[in-house]
Amino acid sequence: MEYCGYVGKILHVDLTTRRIREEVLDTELARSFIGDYGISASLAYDLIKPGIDPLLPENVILFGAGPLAGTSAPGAGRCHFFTKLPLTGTVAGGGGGQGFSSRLKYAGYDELVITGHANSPVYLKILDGDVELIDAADLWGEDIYQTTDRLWEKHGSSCSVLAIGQAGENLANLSLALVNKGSTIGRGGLGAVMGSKNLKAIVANGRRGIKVYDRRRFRGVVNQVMADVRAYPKWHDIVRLSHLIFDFDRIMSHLGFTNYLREFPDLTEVREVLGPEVYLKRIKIRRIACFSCPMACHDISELKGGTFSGVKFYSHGLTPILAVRLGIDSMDGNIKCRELIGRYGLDYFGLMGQIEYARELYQQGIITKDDTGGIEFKPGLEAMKDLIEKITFRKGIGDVLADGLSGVEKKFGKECEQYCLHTKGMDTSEHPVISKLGAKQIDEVTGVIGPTHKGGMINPGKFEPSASLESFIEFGDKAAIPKEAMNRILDTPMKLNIGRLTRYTQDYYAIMSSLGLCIRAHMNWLWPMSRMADIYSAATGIEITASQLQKAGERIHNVAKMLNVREGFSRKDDKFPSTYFKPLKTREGEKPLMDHFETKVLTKEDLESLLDDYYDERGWDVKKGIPTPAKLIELGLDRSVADLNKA
Amino acid sequence: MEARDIVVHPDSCVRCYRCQLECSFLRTRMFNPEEAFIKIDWNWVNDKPSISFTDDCDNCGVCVRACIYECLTLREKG
Repeated sequence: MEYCGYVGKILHVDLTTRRIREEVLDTELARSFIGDYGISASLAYDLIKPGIDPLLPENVILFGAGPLAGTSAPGAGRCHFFTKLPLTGTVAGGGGGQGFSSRLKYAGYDELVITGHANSPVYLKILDGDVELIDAADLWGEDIYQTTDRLWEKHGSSCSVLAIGQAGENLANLSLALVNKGSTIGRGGLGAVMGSKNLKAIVANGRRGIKVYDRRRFRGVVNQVMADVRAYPKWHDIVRLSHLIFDFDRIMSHLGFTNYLREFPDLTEVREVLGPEVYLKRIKIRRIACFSCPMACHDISELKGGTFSGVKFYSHGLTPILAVRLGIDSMDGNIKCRELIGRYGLDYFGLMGQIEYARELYQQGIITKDDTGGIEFKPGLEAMKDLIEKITFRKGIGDVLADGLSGVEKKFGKECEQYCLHTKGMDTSEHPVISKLGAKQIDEVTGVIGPTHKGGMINPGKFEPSASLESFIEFGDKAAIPKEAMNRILDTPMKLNIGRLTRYTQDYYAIMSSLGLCIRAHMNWLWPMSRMADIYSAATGIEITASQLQKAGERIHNVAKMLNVREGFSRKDDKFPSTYFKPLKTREGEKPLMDHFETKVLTKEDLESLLDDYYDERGWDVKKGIPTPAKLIELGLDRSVADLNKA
Repeated sequence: MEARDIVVHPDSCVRCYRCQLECSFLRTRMFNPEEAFIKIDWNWVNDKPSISFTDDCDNCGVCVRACIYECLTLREKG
């Protein structure tokens, strides 16, 4: 049959047997789970058996490309993976940009499934349907930038390269992969899973064109989106420096500061040394976009002069979080550390959290100088560079820290957990608690992976702590939230029931990620559910309404949840970190945790009540925090009902 | 269309490939950057693009309209 939007093929690569085979994409699978994140979640249900060790050959890695990937749909440059993550033990996925999904489709595939384990290092080449496992002995031990450059030299720079560094090779749970040197993918240990399989990199490109069903209708939607982009008054600022240009203090407060001290520092001095003006004047050399993105948010930066002259760094917009939290008091030192983290393939947020955690344990006397080989966990550039190396290469205390919370607990005892800000084993450092509870926090606690860029990103309050009630009501229309549900969300003395709302932000995320669209705050506003339904229908010829698409998002989220229910996860694991209840110290005094509209100080009981509301809005078992048989059957997930008793 | 040139400002290129997407969509009715009449060769050493046009390009300007970053502009000849 002829596919539109989709290519119509799944590629299976068995690293053990080196067998490569193609499978036709089932149309019912596509209709029910849309693509990318959704289809990967559904396939993972069949392929990833519960209870397996993430670093053994039984684990499977899936990469997806949505039906909009490879087209001119603005922002359709995302790719999502699914695997069992060594950091959390959850079966979960995350996204990356820079067009890996588009190139995978041009190479001829909607999905890539990797099983088994290679006997020696290899990289996977997928070029125009020519699929080959190539010996990577000469790449093993090289960092990600070196690996990517060499693969571009060999296969051409229009290829997309997804590669791991030494952190992944050394099976660090804090490792991930990079796409084209600049886009992270794989928080939670994808780097280690690839490393355990001896899979150094994947290269993809091709000349297989992507057809759409109704070209005129498709172009019409693209033109609407581009008109909105051109009319966006903040476009120039976003492309210069993303959100950081707007309000340094406000944005920095959202991105993580001195988590453990719960203290908001004086940012005036920080701005003079590490702020956007310094960055724009001295460091940034070029902006880079993901595939088909009209609001580029990645940078290439380079240090000229000084101790680290010539150091180049590729990333999504630069913030000084790392410098402030880890006590690095120069822009050059900040860039150098970020470069090392990128080259080695470490999770930047996970690393920050882990080092802060280790510092806390050191201050508590749980970790001593005998354990650290003399390291005192002091702030500062040299100490941080040393720790980055030790964690990457598993030397000394780095061998413990590389594994995240589980590594620390194994060595120093379970009582360490009380000092760790985490949900499901993943540090909350990416977006730690601010003084207002948002969908981000509910999503972190109830989501399958823990804290990362997920459903909480699609939330008017995400970057706008002063977001009005009207903006949330408007969001309800955008997200195709049924009227009666919106009434429940608004029917509360807190004006907004963030627990109930989070259910819909998660479904929205599931759809955007299944289409291949970018969920970042500066992009997701372009894509109300109705517009996504329109462009999906135009691309594929499968007519779908906004509410049907919202339902598909619900189905996808439930499958992702069930992958983890059968691993034993339930409400007992959906825990808010205890430090949520420590007040935040600001220049204006202490701020306790409050709801979005600051109607009350939130207690543990309030948070549990919001969780009750979240599960209720999902139609789940409120006590267990998992889907009910009726809900699964309603969503066509009958096959999962038998797994409910595993929670 | 022969009466105008497409002027390239490579420093403005952000590697979004929208020019190639729209060119190939117009020419082949499919999205296929490698078949576009505008070529982007990214130098990964100095991180600069080399942007050129094939002999088939007739300066229709669809790539110019696709580029929001003002990397491509149309200039009337003469």
